[in-house]
Amino acid sequence: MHEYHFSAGVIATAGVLLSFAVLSVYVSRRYLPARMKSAYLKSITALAAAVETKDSGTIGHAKRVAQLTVDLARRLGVEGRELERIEYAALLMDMGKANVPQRLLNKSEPLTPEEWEVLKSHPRLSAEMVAAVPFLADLEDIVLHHHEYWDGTGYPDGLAGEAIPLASRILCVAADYDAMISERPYHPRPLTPQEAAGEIRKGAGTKYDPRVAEVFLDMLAADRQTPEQALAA
Amino acid sequence: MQDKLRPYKIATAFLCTAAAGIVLVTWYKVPLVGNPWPAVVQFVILATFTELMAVGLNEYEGVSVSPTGPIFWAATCVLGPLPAIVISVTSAVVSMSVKCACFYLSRGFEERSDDHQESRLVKTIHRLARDIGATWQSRPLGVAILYVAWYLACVVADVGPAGLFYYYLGGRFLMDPGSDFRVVSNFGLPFVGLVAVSTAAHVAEYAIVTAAADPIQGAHGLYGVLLRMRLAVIETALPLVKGQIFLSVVALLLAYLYSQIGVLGFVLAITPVLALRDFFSQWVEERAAYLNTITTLATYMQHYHPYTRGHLKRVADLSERLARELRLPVESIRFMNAAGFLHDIGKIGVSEEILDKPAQLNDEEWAKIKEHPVKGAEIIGHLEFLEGIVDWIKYHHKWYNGSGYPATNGDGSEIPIEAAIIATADAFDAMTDDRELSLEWKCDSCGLQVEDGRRPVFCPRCGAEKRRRYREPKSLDEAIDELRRGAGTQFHPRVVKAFLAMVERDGIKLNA
Repeated sequence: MHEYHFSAGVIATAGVLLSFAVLSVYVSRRYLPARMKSAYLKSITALAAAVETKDSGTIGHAKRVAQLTVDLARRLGVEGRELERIEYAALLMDMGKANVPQRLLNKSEPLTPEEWEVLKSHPRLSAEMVAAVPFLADLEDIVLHHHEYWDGTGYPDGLAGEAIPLASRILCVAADYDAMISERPYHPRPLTPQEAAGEIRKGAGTKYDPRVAEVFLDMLAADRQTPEQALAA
Repeated sequence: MQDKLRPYKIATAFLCTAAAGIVLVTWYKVPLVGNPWPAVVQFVILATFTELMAVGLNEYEGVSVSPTGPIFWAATCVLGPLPAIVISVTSAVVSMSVKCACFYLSRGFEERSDDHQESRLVKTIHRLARDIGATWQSRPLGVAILYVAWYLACVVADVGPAGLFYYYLGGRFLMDPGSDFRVVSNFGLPFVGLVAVSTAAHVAEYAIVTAAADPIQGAHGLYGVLLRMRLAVIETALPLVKGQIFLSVVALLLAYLYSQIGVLGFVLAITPVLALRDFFSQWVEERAAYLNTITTLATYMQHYHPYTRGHLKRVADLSERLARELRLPVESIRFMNAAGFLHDIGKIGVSEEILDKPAQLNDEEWAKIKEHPVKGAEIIGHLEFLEGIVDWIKYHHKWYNGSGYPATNGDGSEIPIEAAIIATADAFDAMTDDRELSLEWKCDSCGLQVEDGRRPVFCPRCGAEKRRRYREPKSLDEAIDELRRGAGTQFHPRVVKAFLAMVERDGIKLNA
């Protein structure tokens, strides 16, 4: 009968095999989820950017809003999975515009009531799109309500106050701010950051959640202050 | 009626004869070492277990070689080729029977699971049976026998020559009490032999099956077979060699461990395999979810016309079927569906006025339309894991003879076959699509729907002009004629050929 030896070669081989096993378990538990998350973010950003090519005024809008929203949400104490959801929602909120005719998006004269209806359908279109994907389905509410105003004058459902999801209220402030400071067909020139901040202040309590608006203005002020300005003040 | 299985029957008979020859040569030329039969039983158990555990993985990860391959090679190194052949055939038969049984078992579960509240144990068994049975298909007895014979012959044709080479290149069977372990003679040379022989076996298998099923037009007899062989080498050998090298290292390690510490070596060797399986299944799941997410989003982005979704889905399905028919690598087949859904994504930046213009387009508008493959490729270049399909999208409006757009310097040889597949599927669907004829009339600008079957030229509510013209779709025969006429100029002849074969065999549903 054959004789078995536990020689140095066997022990070395066993060591290699076992460490390989441990490594692959580590990779699938730790590395893989992080890798997938970056893949999702990168690809969804790219798709959002593709939609923005339809509407020349909004290039980079989603990406900037996502950045603003994440910063703002962090300051409001949102973290973990919830913060991740807000980031995805910011990237996806205007995807529905893919199905709004380009003519409407780029029109500089006022829209007719019918055209307004079509344009106002975009949160619903985005929400439908998001709901169709199992991985993103829990963002449906946030995306659907990102044009609702605090006093109930927004669309599509006219929700007011706390009935609007917090994430949507955050998105609304960030998206409006970014729209104000960018070139858009519907305003003659972009506002300066100071003017836009003034508009947000004016809207606090009517259009925007007062607490969110306040934190947002604080954030802008903190960002704007360079060390020299801080010294001068 | 023509027997559609005939080429497969010929190929199977050919391979079975070769396998029988290999067994005979092995029987007379290579002596048995000691009493290998207890070890044979251990190897059979290990191989069957691995085969059942690895079910489904090779479908996804492009592992084009059976995961049991290294176990059979290890058996060759330890016991010699004849016992290895016995092991491979026995474990193949056992694992196929188990798969078949699981297939019918899981079907039984499905039939009764609706009205029963199943316990957890039953659910687990059901899931296991479904996974294991998934690779088995219900087929007529004759086809099943053909399939089994083919499979067994393939296994013998791989393991037998590998063992003979190992022996003649100076590899010593590790069960041989007189053999002391030497790196070069036991591992170095036989390693080269294993890789070379098994790659050759797989290429030959591919060549036989394609030569029998899909002979090259105008090249008959031996010349045609040789041409096929050349294609087979180009298409399969290179991707295979990488996998074979990895698997032969695994095989030699397994052989070494088994010769030193027996069954315990199996346990040691199987741990990383289990861990890898865990990793792969998670990876496969994550990536499927990812692909699904991206394609769903991208498809919704193209929903401006209600019919686009149907068109995209049909192009995706048809492209995938064509890729399978052409036996493209697993990697290509996996992304074909996504590519079908994404191929027109570049149109997102082209305004609807141009896309829908009923009149002749002017040069500027044409230039805009012609940009869409390049723009689409650009968008896809930013999507993670889809780098490989960028060229498929970029060239899906190029003709086989090099005309079409975008303009390139090449003569058409730069177009990947996947792009040619998408082009064919896209053209076929556009020809046969009944588009808006089957849809409710809907205004392009205000979205008003007229549901009483009228098709007014101007919208009754907002007065906008209806932009789409109506066009009668072609019948299946007309569309096929068109493809046949375009083969060699507009369409890739191999793709058209595969298309015709597929339609003849399985039929095709228009506007499904």
